[in-house]
Amino acid sequence: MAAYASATAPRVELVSSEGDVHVAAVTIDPRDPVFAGHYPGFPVYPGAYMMAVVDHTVRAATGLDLELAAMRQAKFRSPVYPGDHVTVEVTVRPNDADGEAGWAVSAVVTGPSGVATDMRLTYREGGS
Amino acid sequence: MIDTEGIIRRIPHRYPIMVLDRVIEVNPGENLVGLKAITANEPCYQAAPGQPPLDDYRYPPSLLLESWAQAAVVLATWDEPNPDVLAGKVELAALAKEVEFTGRVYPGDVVEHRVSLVRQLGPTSIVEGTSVAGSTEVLRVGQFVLAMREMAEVLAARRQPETV
Repeated sequence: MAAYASATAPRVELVSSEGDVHVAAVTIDPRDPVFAGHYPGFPVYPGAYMMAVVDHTVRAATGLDLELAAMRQAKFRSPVYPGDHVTVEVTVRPNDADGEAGWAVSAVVTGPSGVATDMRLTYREGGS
Repeated sequence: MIDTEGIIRRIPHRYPIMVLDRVIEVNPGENLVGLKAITANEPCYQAAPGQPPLDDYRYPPSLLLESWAQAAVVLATWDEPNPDVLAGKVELAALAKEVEFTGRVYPGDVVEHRVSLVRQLGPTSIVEGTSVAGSTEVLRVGQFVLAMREMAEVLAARRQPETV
């Protein structure tokens, strides 16, 4: 499997896997270098990094070689801050739309203030 | 043309997540074209400790979208740029819809982001657009909603988390 670049490399701890549903615990590392720039004086986790957290969860949960094809919808409901403990629940289902092997993922990220982000993603098989 | 120094006078993002290099065209209130050059020396290509070296240098889709979104923020806040959130406001992403990663981006590519302002109502801006690398479309954004929030309100919400 290719070692690919990612916005960030969060430590994703899988806590449960039942059928299609996988849950991970992630701590938003306050030492992540991104906070110096997002934003100076007010560190808040970028939405793009939250996408990477979901992506890492999907990969850790399924072990699949995947390429992100689309983000059908993402709602950023409340900010996530350095040190926050979040749970990431992903549901991964095969999705053979367009005759191509793929997966439909729905993800809910819950933090100290409730649901922080929910998103629906489409993945296709990885590889060059 | 707005260079990098001009961009940082308009948006609060800084290294290592200031991922917009240049604005080459702007029609305020309408549309904007910005550029991001991708290089192998970016922070995202640093191998995490204990991890194997990369063998796939595709630019992360999340950062491609972030880069497009920063061009969108420049457009949405054109009349009231907000380069310092401590001054009182922060532009937050609220919603993204029908975002498609239609092509791969690699070091050496210069990505051109095209952003159109669909509607702006008070603090809410709705934008859409595409990104291309050379003649290849790499990103499509069906809808992206930005909300300019008062920092006092954001901080107050943080101090009183909802009970779950």
